[in-house]
Amino acid sequence: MLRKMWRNWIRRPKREADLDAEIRSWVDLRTDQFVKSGMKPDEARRAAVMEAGGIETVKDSVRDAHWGNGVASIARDLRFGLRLLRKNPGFTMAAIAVLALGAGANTAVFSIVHSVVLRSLPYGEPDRIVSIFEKRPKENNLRNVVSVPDFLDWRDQVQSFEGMSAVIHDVVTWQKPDGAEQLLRGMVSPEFFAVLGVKLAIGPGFAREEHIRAPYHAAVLTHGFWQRRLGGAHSVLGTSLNLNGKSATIAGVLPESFAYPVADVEFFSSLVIQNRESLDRGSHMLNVIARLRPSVSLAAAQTEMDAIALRLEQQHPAANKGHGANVVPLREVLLGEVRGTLLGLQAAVGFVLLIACANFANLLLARTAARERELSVRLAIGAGRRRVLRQLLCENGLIGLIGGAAAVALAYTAVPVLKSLVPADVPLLGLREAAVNVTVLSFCLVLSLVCGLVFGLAPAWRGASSGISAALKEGGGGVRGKRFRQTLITAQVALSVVLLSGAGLALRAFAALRAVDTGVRPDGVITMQAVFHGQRYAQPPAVIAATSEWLDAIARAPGVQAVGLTSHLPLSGQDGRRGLAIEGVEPPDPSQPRRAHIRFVSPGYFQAIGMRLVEGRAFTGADRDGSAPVMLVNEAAARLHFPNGKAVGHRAKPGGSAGPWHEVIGVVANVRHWGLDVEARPEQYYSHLQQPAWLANVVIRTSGDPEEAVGAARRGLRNLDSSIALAQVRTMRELVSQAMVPERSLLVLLSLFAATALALTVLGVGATMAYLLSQRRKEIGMRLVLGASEPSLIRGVAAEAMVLVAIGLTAGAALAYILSEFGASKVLRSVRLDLPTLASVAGVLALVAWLANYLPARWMVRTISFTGLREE
Amino acid sequence: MKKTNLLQGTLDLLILKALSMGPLHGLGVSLRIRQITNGAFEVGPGSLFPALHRMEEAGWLSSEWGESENNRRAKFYQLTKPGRRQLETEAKHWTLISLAIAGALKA
Repeated sequence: MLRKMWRNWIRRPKREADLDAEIRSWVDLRTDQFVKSGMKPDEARRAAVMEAGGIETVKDSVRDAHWGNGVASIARDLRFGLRLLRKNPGFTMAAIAVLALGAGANTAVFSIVHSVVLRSLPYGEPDRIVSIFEKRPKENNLRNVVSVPDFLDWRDQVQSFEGMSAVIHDVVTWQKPDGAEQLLRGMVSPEFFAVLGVKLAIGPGFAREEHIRAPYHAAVLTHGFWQRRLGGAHSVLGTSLNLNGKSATIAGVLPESFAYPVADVEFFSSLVIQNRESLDRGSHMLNVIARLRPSVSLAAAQTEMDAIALRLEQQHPAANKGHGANVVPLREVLLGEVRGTLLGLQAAVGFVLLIACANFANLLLARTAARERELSVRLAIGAGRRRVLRQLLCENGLIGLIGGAAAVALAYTAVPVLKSLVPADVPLLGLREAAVNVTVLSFCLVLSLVCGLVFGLAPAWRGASSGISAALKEGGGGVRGKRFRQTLITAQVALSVVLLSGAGLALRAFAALRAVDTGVRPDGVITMQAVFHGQRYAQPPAVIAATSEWLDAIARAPGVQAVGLTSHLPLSGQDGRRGLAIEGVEPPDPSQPRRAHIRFVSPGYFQAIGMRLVEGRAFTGADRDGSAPVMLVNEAAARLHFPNGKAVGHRAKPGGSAGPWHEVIGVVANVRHWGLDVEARPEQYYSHLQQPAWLANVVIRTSGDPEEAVGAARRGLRNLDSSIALAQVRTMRELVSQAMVPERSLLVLLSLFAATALALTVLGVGATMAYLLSQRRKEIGMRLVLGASEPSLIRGVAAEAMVLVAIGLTAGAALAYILSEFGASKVLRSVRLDLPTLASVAGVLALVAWLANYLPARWMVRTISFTGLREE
Repeated sequence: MKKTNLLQGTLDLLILKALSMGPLHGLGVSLRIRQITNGAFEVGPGSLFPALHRMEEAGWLSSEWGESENNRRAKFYQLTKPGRRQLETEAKHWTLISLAIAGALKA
C-alpha cells in the first residue's frame, strides 16, 4: 500500500499530463462522432465538453481514486487553508487565543492543583498518619497544641496507634568556625520518622527512648542541608554540630524524597523528655502525630482518644477541664487551608474552559455557516463530498495545530509563574515538584480539538447530506442552528458573570485587607532577630545588660528615631499564650481561666513600631529589675478581662505564676498580630528590663538609609558578642505585604481568569452578532427601503440581541449567588457576595455586551444603506 | 443525460465485460457499455476514468497509447490475466445475487 502511494506520488507529474491527454482525446473522439452525426464542428466540440461535465472535475475524481494523490491534494488543502486563515486574521487569532487559553491555562492550574492536592504525601502509607490536637470546644478552638504531660499520657495509654510522636520547631544558633548562623530545626521525639514511615538514607537515626539515660543530643539532617552545607560526605556521620553551645552528634541523613511541611527546617534534633513529674500540664507546645494500626479506623481511634481525654480531665481538672482530643488525618491538616483556594481556582479554570469551548464552537459555526453557500456551490459544481469535508478538516486541523502549540507554550510558561505566586511560607508539599502534567495537557488539547472538529464539520455534513438545493436556499443554517448559537451566547454570558463576581469578591477582600488598621505604623521600620542563649546569658541580668548595650549602639546611628525589642513580633508567626490572673477578680466561670498572649518588650518598643498608647503610660527605663513590677495590656484584654473595661490600677500577673503581682500602668491599642483578617486578641505586656526576652526581635524606626541602620545593628552585635547570629532582617512593610500575599495571589489569578472570560465573551457575542446580522441583510435592507431611520434600526437590532445577554446575566447572577453561598465562602472567608458587587459585575458585562452588539449592528446597517440591495 | 445510479461493483463488472471482447479507449468503453446494456447505462468520463484508473492500479487492466479508428491518439485499455479472473468471479457473484433477488421478488 505504501509503495503504491509512493509510486503514485513519484510519477505524479507524468500521470497528470497523461490524464490531460486522455480526457482531451475523449473530447476529440466525441467531437468527431457529433460531427459525423451532422453537427457543426464548434457546436460539436461544445457539446462534447459539456457532456464530459467539466474537465477539472473529472481530473479531480480520478485523483481521488489514487492513494498518493490524496497526499498531494491534502497539501493543496493545507496551503489553501493557510491562505484562508491569513485572509481572516480576526477569526484566526480569536480561534487560536481561545484554544490557547482554554487548554493552556487550564492545564497550568490543574497541574499545580494535581501536584499539591491530589498527589499522595511523600510518606509511607500516608493515609494512616494522623495529627492529634487538644480540643477546646468551649473556646471554639479544635486544634490546639498539646502539653507535654498530656502527650506522654496519651502515648502510654492508647492502643489504636502503632506509634505517636511529638514535634516542635525552634530556632538554634549553629556555631561554625567561620561564624554563627541561625537555623530552624524540628525537635522530634525519637519515633518521629517511624510514624511518618520514612527510612533514613544513611545512619542509624535516633537512639530508642528507653535506651537513653544520660543527656542525649543527636541530629538527623535533611538531604538538602547535608548536601549544601556539609558537602554530602558520608564521613560526617558521628561527627557533631555545635548547636546553642552544645554539641549534637549527627546520627543520620534523610532521603532526598523526604519533604517536610515547614520548608525551612534544615535538620531534626531529638526531643527527649525527662523528669516527667516536674512538667507543667498547663503549658501547651507540642504538635502530635501518630500512625494508625492497620485494622483501626479513624473513628475508632477518636473514640479511644475521647475516653483517654475524659480520664485525664477527671484526674487533672485544674489543667484539663473542658479539654478533649481531636484526631485529624494529616492530609487534611496540611491541605485544609489552601484546598478551598485551589479548588476555587480549579472551578474558575473549568469555567474558562467551558466558555472557551462554547466560543470556539460558536466561532466555527458562524464561519462555516457563512461559507455554507460557497460549500454548496462547490458541491453543486461537482466537488466530491469527501473533498469538501477533507478541506474543512484541514482548515480546522490547522487552527487546532497552531492553537495547540500556543496552548502548550502557555502551559509551560504559566506553571513557574503560578508557582512563584504562592508565598514561600505557605506549607504546600509538592509545590516545588509541580510541573506541567502531560496527561492533563493532552486531555485538554484533545477536548478542544474534538470540539473544534465536531462544530467545524457539522455544517458540511448537513450541507452535504441534505442535498444541494436545500443548502443553496437562503439561510441554510435553519432555526435549530440559530437556537443553538443563542444558547451558547447565553451560557457564555452567565459563566462570565460568575467569574467576574469571583474577581469582584477577591478585589473586595483585598481592598478590605488594605484598609485594615494594623495597629502599627510599618513605614520606615526595620526588624531583625537575635537569640541570646548559652552559658553567658543563663542569668537575666546578663541578657538585660547585653541587649541594652546593643540597643543603645543602634540608637546612636544617624537617622534612627526609635529602637526597641520584643519577644513576639506582629505578623511574624511568633506567639505565646498564657493565663492572666487579676488580683481580687475571679473569672466569671472558674473552669474558664482568663487567657492573654504574652509579650516582653523594651521601653522603646511601642514608639519604634508605632503602637498607640490609649491610657496611662508606657514602660520607661526606670521600670527595671528591682523597681516595682509593672505591666500593660491591650484594649482587647482590658475590655474582656477587667471589671468595666478599666485595667489601669489593677494588679495582675501571668496565670499560674508564683511571681509578684504587676501593676497595670497603661493600655495600648490593639494590633493585628495574627494576620490582617484576624481580630485582635487579649495581650499582656511585661517590661524586658524586669523579665528579659532571650529571643530578641529588634525594631528600628529610621528616617535615614535602612542599610545604614542595619549596618549599625550588625556592627553593634559583633562588638557585643560575635557568636550571636543576626537573622530575619526585614522591613515591617514586608511583613504586612506578606500577610496579604494569599489574597493578592488569588486576586491576580481570579482577575486574569475574569479578564479572559470577559474577552472571550465579547469576542463570542460580537462574532455571533455579526453573523446573525449577515443572515438578515435582506430584511434589514427592506426595512431601510421602507423608511426606517438608520439609528433606530441599529438600536432595534442590537436590542434584540441584548435579550440573550439579559437572560445570561440573570442566570449568571443566580449561579454566582448559589456558588458563593455553598462553596466560595471557603475560598474567601472575609467577604460575601453582595448586591453592589453583583450589580457592578452585571453592569460591566451589559455595557461591554451592548458595545459588542451595537458596533457590528451599526457597521452592518451602514454598509447596507450605502450599497443598497444591489447584490440581492 | 439519463441518470441511473450504478453500484460501484456493477460499473467494474460492466467495464470488465466491455473489455473482454478486446482493447478499447475510454469513449469506446462508454459506447460498448451502452450497446451491451441496450442503452440502459450511460457512463460519462466523470465516473469512467476514475474507475479505469482504479482498476488499472488494482492490476486488472493494462493501458497503452495508440491510434484510434479515425487516426486520433487515444489510450487503449485491455484486460490482464487477473482482470479476466476478476471478471469470472464478479460474473458468478452477480449471477448469484440477481438470482437471489429475482427469487425474492417472485416470492
